[in-house]
Amino acid sequence: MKRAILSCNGLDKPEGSVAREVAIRTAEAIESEIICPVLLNRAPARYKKILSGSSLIVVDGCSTRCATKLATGLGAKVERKVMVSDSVKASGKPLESTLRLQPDGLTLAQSIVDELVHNLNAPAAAPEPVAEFEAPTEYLFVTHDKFEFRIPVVDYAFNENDVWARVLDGVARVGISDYMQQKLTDISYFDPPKVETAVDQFGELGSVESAKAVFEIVSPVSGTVVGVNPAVIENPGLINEDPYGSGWLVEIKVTDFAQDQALLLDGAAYADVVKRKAAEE
Amino acid sequence: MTNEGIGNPVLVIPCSGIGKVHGLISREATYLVTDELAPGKADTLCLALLVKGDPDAVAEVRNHACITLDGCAKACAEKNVQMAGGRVAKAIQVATCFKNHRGAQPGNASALTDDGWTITREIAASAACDVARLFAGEEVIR
Amino acid sequence: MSAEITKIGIISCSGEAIPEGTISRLATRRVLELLRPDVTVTLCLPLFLAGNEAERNFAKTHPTITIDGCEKQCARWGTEKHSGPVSSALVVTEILGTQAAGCHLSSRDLSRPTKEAVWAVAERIAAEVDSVLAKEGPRHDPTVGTTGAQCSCSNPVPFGKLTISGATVTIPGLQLIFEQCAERSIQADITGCTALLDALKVYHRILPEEEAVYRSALLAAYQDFRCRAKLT
Repeated sequence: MKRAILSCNGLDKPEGSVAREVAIRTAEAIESEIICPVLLNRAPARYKKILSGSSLIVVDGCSTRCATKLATGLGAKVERKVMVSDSVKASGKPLESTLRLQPDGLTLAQSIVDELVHNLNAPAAAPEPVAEFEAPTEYLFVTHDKFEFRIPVVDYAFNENDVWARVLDGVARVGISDYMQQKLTDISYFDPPKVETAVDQFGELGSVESAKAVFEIVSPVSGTVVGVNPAVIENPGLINEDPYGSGWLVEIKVTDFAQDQALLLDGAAYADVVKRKAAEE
Repeated sequence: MTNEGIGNPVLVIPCSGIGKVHGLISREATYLVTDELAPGKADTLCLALLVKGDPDAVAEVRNHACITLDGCAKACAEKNVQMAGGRVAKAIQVATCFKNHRGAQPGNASALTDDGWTITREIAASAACDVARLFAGEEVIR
Repeated sequence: MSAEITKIGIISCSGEAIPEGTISRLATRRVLELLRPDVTVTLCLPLFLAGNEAERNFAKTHPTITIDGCEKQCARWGTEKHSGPVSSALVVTEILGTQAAGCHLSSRDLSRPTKEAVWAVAERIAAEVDSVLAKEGPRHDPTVGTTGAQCSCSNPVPFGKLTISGATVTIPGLQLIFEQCAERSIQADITGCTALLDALKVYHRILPEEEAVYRSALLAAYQDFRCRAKLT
């Protein structure tokens, strides 16, 4: 398989220096071609042939994800993503503050390369959504002052903590309600639970954060986490744009939804909760 | 034919959304750019005046490169400058900049905290760099 | 006691290029957060003009007050174009005259003249809110429903208490009112009583027959506030 490596150009942070080192060492370890991000941005046609014929490995220094955005903006097929700042966090050791890599930074870069090459050779199965969830088409509306909160009429069950679940073929897709996303305003982080984690109904299911607040997600169902929405990790703003559709957060293989459902609310009942909460604010 | 190019002041236009802290940050970042970081190279104008179709405001955005500073993804400033026929050389969204400030408590739509001013200065510094490039006749990555 | 309260939409121009735009914005926020928190909703002008249906629909079905920085009246124009006639249109330059001279554009480190200008415009807006509600809404009592005063970011507005004729009266923002009076150098003695009472009456309804007891209670509370301020 032909591969290409695109690293960010982070010249102002040590993470950017590590990203560049990772790209160089990966190109030395596997047959691949390095793509210059600046040239790719200025003259994407130069890399058209390489991108169309190769799988792309993207290496970003930080959560600004410049390289990922550049690649996805050009429609490139991304095989693997590496985020240096995540690796720094996982190592438990802060990176030196200098732009010129020190021994610790070089060691970190090598460890990232080793893990990447290992995963390329034995790719992990990415959790795929197991059912086709269609977006809701019919809504109830609760109005308070200038705000209008949408609540799907059918198929969605809510807890009083403003989290919904929609179940198909034994898998619950979970997200936050339109009321909660409007209350939070622009969401900038989603902290997901780990895949394969067991969760109880009303247990913790990660959190979302905006400039106003951190919102702990209270699970509406019991089961095992089998998926996390990668689009929302990439762009948490999707939660605000489409909280009941593409802004879903987590998928859970449910243990006993009939039992969970007894403690959940349908759309109409949740609408009453929203009316009460909005009036109390 | 426009006057864009070397030595032509850049317009920095915030959305000034009144409902969220992001709108205040967009506004204060604009003032930092025009008053402190790039005086003489950057100016601002009233977005509402532009939307109203004020001829002077419309002429301004058509004759100068514009940097829009929007609070959120609704991008009111960017959209309205484009609709008025202006060229948005760079579109910045404050909400996106929050990704680098996990846990920050920036304040509210009336007043910023120290966290809020830190974010504001960061956005202003980045915008001022773009102003310098545009003022020198260079392009910026949108 | 409960009374049905109508909400009023307030649309500020927030004009970026002149100090009056900043004053318009800050005064609107002051009305929303402190002066009339339970009966006002602010509508975001850029969103309104960009076509946001929620903002426009609210303005179609509720009374609106526009506050513009200058005579170009962009907020008024936008509201009338997209939602219909406004109940009241205020212009900061008409309210302040030359008082806006020397005011800041930025909300950082507000100067004394800017604060005074903001307070003056905010009080004018609040008076207009009361007037519009008196004309267009059900019976409105500014004191009703004030127990849950919050700003739009959900931060609570602090309360104070006065003992009036043996009963405890809760007044939202009393501390903030006292801070404002102190900044205006209102004296904590008999000479400051009238100014104190006038300041409180902007935020809290006082019947004429109650004024005498409010004066003495207010002065005592203000003296206590000034003493504590000196000690900290």
